[in-house]
Amino acid sequence: MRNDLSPPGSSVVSSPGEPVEPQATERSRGRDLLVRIATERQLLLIVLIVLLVALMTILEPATFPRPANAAVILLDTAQTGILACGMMVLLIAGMFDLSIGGILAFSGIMAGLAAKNLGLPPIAAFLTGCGWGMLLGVINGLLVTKFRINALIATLATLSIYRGGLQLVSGAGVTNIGNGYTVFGQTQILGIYSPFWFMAVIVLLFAFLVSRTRYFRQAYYIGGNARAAKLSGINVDRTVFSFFVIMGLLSGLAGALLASRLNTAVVLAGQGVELKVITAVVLGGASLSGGVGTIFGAFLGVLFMALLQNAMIIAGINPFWQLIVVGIVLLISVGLDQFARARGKA
Amino acid sequence: MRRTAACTTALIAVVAGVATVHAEEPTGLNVPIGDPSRSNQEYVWISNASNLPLFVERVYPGLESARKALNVKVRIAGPTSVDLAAFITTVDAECTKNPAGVIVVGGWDDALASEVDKCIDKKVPTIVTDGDLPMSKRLTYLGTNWYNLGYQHGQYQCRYHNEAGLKTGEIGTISFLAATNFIQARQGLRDALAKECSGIKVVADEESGTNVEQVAANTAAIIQGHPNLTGMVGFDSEAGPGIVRAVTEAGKSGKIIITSNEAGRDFLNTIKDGTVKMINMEKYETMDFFGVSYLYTFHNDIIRNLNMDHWLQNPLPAIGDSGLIFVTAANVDTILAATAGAK
Repeated sequence: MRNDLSPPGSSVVSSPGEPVEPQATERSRGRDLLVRIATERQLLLIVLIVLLVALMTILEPATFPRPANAAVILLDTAQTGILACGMMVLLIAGMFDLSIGGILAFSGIMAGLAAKNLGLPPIAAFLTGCGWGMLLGVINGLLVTKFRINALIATLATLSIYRGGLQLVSGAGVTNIGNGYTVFGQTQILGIYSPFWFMAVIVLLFAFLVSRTRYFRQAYYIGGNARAAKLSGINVDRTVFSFFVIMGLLSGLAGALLASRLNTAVVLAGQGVELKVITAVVLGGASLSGGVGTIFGAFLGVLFMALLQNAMIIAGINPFWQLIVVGIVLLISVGLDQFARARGKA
Repeated sequence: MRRTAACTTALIAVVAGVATVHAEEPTGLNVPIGDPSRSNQEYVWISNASNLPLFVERVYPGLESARKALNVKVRIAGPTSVDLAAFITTVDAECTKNPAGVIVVGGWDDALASEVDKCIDKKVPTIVTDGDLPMSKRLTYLGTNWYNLGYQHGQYQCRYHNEAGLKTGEIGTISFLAATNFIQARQGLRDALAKECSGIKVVADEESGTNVEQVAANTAAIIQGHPNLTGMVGFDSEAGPGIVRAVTEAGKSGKIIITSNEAGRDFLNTIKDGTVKMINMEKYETMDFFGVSYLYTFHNDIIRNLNMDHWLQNPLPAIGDSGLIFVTAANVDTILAATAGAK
């Protein structure tokens, strides 16, 4: 009786021995596929990216589907993509770092000062920036693991300290760095500027590390249940500390790279980047409570955000609507997942 | 009858006394300007992004000149990021301390008007610089005429399009979209284009967000979305470098006509290498030096209109246009030479 009352499109339950209608099987398969797309964030993002590209190709055939525009989108993913790798590892471990914008700006300033004021060779200046970022990451790690300060509070405080510190050091920033320092950010390879290639290498490296190495996979155990991870022999503090150091290093790299791309170390660099990165990473499958997420997912989140931003500007959407659209997309992506999971359980 | 007369006489005397008080000469004239007796007076400059490179290079020296010339204290306050809530809190907190005067950098958001009003209600002399808050009770607006700034950009764009033989064209802009001063500037640009080269249109207005990376990404998308783009205008100090970066990365340096607001002395070199055609410089030193001077004048009751109390009849000018400097290939060397070592 229930089957007769079911609305079109709803699942059909067959009695044992009763022949299953081919249409019903197809409908069931279609429903399963939709549920799978909705529940697997990476698959959902791939579908959304394909749909967005297809839609924009139809709407803006003369401007959107061009190699030059693809290069622009990929370059736009560079900074966020580098930071997203570190943030994803932290989020998997149930931590996050709000100071990355400050580290990024401070590291860029240190790299710029090293190249311009100290006259260091470009590679030494670049490494100075990366090293400075790592050092600031060490401070974050110590605050969280040794002094037991909540990561949110600790990194919110260091964000302020790092921003203040960089202004004390540099004042208005370092302009016109020169001295060959632009080689890292202004070199073109296969039509795309070097920051993208830095990001590509880092994403591939971290995808391997997180999926294949025991050390990084510990993040899942820590994020899932830190106490259980500790009882099973994982040195939780040391591991979390190292993840903060890695986040610092990646922020330093992103800052040194940005200074090279602009030939200027800007004191306001990386403003609001922390929320942008967390948004992309959550969109890519991470959970704020830890234990889940992949680097590939983080990259897809970053790519989708960059693609969406580019598409909206090309489509001439009012910038105020652009903000609303980004928020709605985030809500739908995460909400769809929750909805599908709830339906699946039911 | 005698009592009535006495009362009337007393009343006249009181009224005359009050009138005499109001008709007094300005009290501040008894002390020379810069006198040590006023050295404890504190004037506070408050802005969003208070450490913006442009502010450090141009505003701070103007404030410092005023501090020295008037022999008073001048302090800088406000969030180092674009944080309206923190900005408002700072204005509130500073005015509660009852300083000798406050300069609020307007133009970031119209919501600042009510904060300015609160300061005035507390009898803290408060003026607005850089971007006006005309709906507030501010004593003066001293700064750039943003409509004129936009209009001038339009005229320069017309001139350079004409020199390039372009009768038609497409222009993109980068600015803080919601800020009143930038709305005025964009309107000025459009009016100038409509009047002087109607074949050239604005096709995109995108956000700056005081963020060079965002400007570069948005400009790159504008370039991709408008293959026939012939011009870009950057209205805020972070816009220029981001636009230059995106245009260079797109291989369109020199092909897209860029006019921009200033972004520090080194940015002027982009005119020398041909990437940027015109950079406007606001007269920050002027607006901030005179900003403190106006407040000093008001706070110390140095000048009055109709001999009326300065809180009853504001003696300061309602609006002061601090003017603009336009840097082009014709004068960039002169300006670079004059400002060499200025940092």
